[in-house]
Amino acid sequence: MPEDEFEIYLTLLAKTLRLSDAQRDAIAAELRDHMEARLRELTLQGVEREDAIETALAEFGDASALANDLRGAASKTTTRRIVKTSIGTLAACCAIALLFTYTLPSQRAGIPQNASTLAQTPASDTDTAPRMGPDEYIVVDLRRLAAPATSPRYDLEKLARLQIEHKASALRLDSVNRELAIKEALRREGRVSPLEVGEFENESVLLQFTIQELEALIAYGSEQVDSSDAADVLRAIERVALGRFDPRRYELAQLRGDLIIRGDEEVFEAVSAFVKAYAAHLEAPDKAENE
Amino acid sequence: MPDSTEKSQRDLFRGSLDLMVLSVLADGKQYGYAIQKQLHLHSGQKVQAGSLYPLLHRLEADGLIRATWDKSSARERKWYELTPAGEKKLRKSAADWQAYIARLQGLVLPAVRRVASQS
Repeated sequence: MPEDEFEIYLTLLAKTLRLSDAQRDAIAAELRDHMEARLRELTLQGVEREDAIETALAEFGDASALANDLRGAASKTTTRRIVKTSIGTLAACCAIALLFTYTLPSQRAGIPQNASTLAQTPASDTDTAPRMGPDEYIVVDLRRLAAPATSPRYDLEKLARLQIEHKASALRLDSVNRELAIKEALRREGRVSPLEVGEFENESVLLQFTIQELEALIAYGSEQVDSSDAADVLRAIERVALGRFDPRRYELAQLRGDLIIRGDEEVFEAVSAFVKAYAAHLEAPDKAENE
Repeated sequence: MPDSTEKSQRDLFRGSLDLMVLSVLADGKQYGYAIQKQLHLHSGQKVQAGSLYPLLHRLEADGLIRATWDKSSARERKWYELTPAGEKKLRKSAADWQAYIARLQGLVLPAVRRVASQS
């Protein structure tokens, strides 16, 4: 008989795997088999059932991290496909950048030179872009998103199908009520409603948004900061999701790495750009400060 | 010192996991839990489940092992086995490993004897 705890873990894992339903089901079945075998072994050794379940799960580690590792193997063929069509992808992203240039009113002023250049790319290549499924996600570390950005529209569009995860333990540490901080804050804003709010074995809370909801978030973030810098807009978006976090607690949570943003393949690419910019920023702090 | 030795052994273990998994599967089909047990038995080190499955899936994606599902019993089970490419990789890696060990022994063993004779 499947243990509820195992199913919760496997559900979390499945939610964060950027794979097809069949692939996710297969992975869940394989891991469930292992968990139950381990549970049988431990209980035969005289370990209390509750402790045995806890041990069996602990040996798999954090579900999000495991999902990330499993995706790595599964996405190998996908990666090859993406490399083959990288030119088409770039053209499509340029078209998206053009779209965003005209859909974010608060950012029309002060368009960076590189965004203008991107906008000249023909939009007809859009349909050559490889697209991941809407339920496919890649985990990235939110701390990296503090990096300075140079092409905000290009990057923001890639936050489609954004997920924001909070570690419940971190919220408790800061004496923040999880319900108020996340769910109600979002409802109070009236801007977005999370498609899913799940509480999982590791007590993380996962918020998942559609692209439309994300657009509303981006628009809201843009209004709040009146800036064309993607990093500023992102921080505003995060503050919306974080609700009652005050800025100091928010910074602390970021520093601890307690916040994780998930997105699809395009998010990953966008974040990679952030990471590179951030690395450059760290390497030349004096220059960045002067700017 | 014991900590250093333990860390050294774990580093060696991690570095040779691919080869060890391929070696375990050289004996025939195995499923994940059994592979984990075999690895523990032969190395004295425990590879966590959270590390084992990404490794197995990576080897599968690389075409070195293949998997089949046994659905004949109430509990479905995924079995892994070596592919021809995996067998080739195993032979090559094992040869490389043996050559490396031989070279290392050529350096280390005389050094140990010299140190022993001086003490």
